[in-house]
Amino acid sequence: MASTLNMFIYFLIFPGLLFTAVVGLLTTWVDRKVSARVQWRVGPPWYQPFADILKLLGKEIVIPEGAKRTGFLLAPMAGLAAVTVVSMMLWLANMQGVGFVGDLIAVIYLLTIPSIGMIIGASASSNPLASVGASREMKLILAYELPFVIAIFTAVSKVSPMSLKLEAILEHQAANGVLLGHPSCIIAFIVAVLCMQAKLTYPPFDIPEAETELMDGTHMEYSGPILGVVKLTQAMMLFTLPVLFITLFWGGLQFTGWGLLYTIVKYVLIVTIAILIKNTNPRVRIDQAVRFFWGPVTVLAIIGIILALAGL
Amino acid sequence: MPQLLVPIVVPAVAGGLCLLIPRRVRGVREAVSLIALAWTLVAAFRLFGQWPLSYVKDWGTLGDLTIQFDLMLTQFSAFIVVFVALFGFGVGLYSISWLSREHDGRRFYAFMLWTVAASIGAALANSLVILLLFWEALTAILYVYVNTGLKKLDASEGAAKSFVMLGLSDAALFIGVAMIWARFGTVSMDELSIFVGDGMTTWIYILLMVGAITKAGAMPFHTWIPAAAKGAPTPVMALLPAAIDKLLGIYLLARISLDLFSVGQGIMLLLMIIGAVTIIGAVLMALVQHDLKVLLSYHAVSQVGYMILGIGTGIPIAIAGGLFHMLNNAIYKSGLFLSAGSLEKQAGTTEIKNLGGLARAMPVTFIATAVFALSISGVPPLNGFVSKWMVYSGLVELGSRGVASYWIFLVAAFFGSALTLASFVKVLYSGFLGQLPSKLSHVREVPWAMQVPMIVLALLCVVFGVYAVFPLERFINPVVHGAVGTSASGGIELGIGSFSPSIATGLILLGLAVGFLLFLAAKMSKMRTGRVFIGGTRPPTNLDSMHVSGTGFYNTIRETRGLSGLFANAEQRVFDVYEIGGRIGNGIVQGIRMLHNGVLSTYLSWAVIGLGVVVFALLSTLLRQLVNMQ
Repeated sequence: MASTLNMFIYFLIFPGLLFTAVVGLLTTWVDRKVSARVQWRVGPPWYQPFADILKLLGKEIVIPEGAKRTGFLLAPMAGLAAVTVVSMMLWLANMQGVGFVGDLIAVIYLLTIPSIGMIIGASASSNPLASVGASREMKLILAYELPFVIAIFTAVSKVSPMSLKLEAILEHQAANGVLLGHPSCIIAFIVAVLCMQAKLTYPPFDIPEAETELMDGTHMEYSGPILGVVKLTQAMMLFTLPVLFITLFWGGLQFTGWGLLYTIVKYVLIVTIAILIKNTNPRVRIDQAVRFFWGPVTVLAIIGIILALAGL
Repeated sequence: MPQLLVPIVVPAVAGGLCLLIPRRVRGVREAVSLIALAWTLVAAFRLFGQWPLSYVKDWGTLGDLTIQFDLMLTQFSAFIVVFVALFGFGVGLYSISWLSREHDGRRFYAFMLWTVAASIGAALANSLVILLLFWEALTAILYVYVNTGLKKLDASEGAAKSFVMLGLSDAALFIGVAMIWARFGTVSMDELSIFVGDGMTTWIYILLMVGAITKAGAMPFHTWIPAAAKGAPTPVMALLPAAIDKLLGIYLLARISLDLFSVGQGIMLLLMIIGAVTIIGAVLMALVQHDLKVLLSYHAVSQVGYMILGIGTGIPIAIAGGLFHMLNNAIYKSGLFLSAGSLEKQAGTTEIKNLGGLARAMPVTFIATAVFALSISGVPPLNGFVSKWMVYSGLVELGSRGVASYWIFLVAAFFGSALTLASFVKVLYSGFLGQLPSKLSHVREVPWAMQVPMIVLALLCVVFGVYAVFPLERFINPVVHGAVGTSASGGIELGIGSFSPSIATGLILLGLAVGFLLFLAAKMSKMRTGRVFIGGTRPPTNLDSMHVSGTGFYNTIRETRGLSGLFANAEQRVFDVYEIGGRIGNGIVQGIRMLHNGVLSTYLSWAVIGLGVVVFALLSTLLRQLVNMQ
């Protein structure tokens, strides 16, 4: 068990807040650069996301009339805190092979807190368009949660002996090869990546933010430093979700020699898939998204878990 | 007076006193009730830890059966008694301010006190006959209690439905107890140990189970709860279906499934299916409700699913999770009904479309409701998450023991949790966040007597989440023989998974502190208020036209193919056993009615046929006896 001082350092600097934020922001740069190349533009320099956040921190905050201040300001913070805890749990399991704070179920639940935070914050803003965005965000959670959970437990079913502990899942993969070697887990991985797209509210699932009709929906009334927190949380999610999938399906993170390079390749590959889907698909309607996730994606996920239980 | 009788006799006598105090005299019956409830609570706390304690008194004989007034304090019943007394006191305090002049306070307090007395009696009973007596007393009290509601038509309809459904389930329990006595010759719970092997024992178990899960409100015997919610006074809902009925129903289910009977795989699977169906079915109904009280009542049903699912796995950690969930659910669901009662009292309605934006006017109620809502949705590190997590872990352990179907139940439980969150997002949004309708601009916070119970319950939600090891060690582990591993630093270790709620909380608080510092660094003074931005146009002068009601939040889900038919059927009450039973009964009555056509010759011919049957029966018996004699 880590001492309190260690825990502070883990949480604030590495692998918690600071590290996750920096890598997350760098990843958003990759996102912007790749998007730019897809659209035949040059794209921003690497420090652009940092400059953006710093600039937001210096701006004033405008709170709409009738907003419930505490909820409006506190909700995004809770999301930031939760994603930091998740990042820390994943990295400590990968680096030291110890369970910290909790197991996989805690990870899944903590990962919904940023979305809940956005919903509560948007509801508290008393903006009607943000209300519509909040409603859509919640429906989106409902839509992807079903196949996402099935995909996660497909991986758990392949671990023997079955365990929810992150370190046990990693140990199993170190001894028996990565879970992605099984056909069932390949299906689960595809499902998980699709759900990641919705979790990040990336197109085609940017329905709650819908720039054209809701003008950024859930984020609409946020400005200045608090918008910075919202953007930072999104960036950190973009970093944390691929790390979760690498941990679950793809043998985890390695830190020595070629392993380090391999880890980076795995990470960039997952991120690039997300970015490419983002850039090549128009936004769908919320009912289409619900039908997509509850229909074909869930069926795919169920096929995956049945294959897993059949031993494949 | 023997110590065990105090928490039963004190509220029972005080309830009688309340009825005797004239209606005009105000304040006295409130004082009497509160003193009695406080006394009961103290007595319950003093009982805690004194197990095994018993009290036996012969009441006479009935044929071969000696009826004994047999009470016994076990580790399990002791904690049920403490929480029944706690909820009784909390709701009693709340009701002082909640009741308006139109309510009949005399009957209200009398029934509340008798409810507490009968519930404690049922929890302490060691003889199944005594349990049955208290159990049926509760059904009768609930009938008259729901009837104290001011909306007479809704109240009497809900009361009748509750009475019929609970009464029939009590009858099932009664038959089950009678069969136990006939087969095993004893009704003492500590002497019974029944192996469910043959058809007879299976039937006995199922009859007792029906009695238990109807009280708890699991599908398909759940429909009395939403019906009662429409008309009953809100504190009644907070006390009975939300809290006490859950504690008692799951207590009985756990006692019969774990102590009295040793059940096989088939029964376990049945329990798990009931649990999973209840979770999903009820929460889907809750999602589309437009009355806050009815919405909450469907959650009161849905959450039972987790408890039954947990007990049904037969895995110790899941049983512990199910029992812990019973406790947690009683805390936050009772709190949620109290919140709904506060809204009803101050805003005059529980219709979701008429509410909105009350967080500023009612900050205490809002924060308490937010805590309850996040707890029931299983947001870590609150208490609802911990118990759900234990049930999930138990299901995964079931899977690791080779039960391949584990994932269906697991996914049902997980998905039910997401749907619960969605439904409470709607509650928080439409009650407290969103836009404030101009009609509600006068609304103020509730008086302190209503705030205190909500604050206490909200604190319990936080404490039982962050220091989950405390209730687990104190209340749950003694019942499940120490199945849950705990560490001094507040971590819970289940073997298959682990979670440290206290560390998680510490880190989240640290994150919030960092965020706050970031704000300070970025100059809080640079904060100003501006108009709501609605795409560049000027907001309308009548702000009510911008009100987005929470009613239609999930219409997309309702209209999704596959679900739309299900919702339509459910609203037609196709799945309501009460309606189905009513229709069957009505069919039989209509059939018999056709015989009554008012024509004398028909009646005469029936009478002659009847006489013929009687004569034939008598003659045949006589003949058989004659043959036997020869």
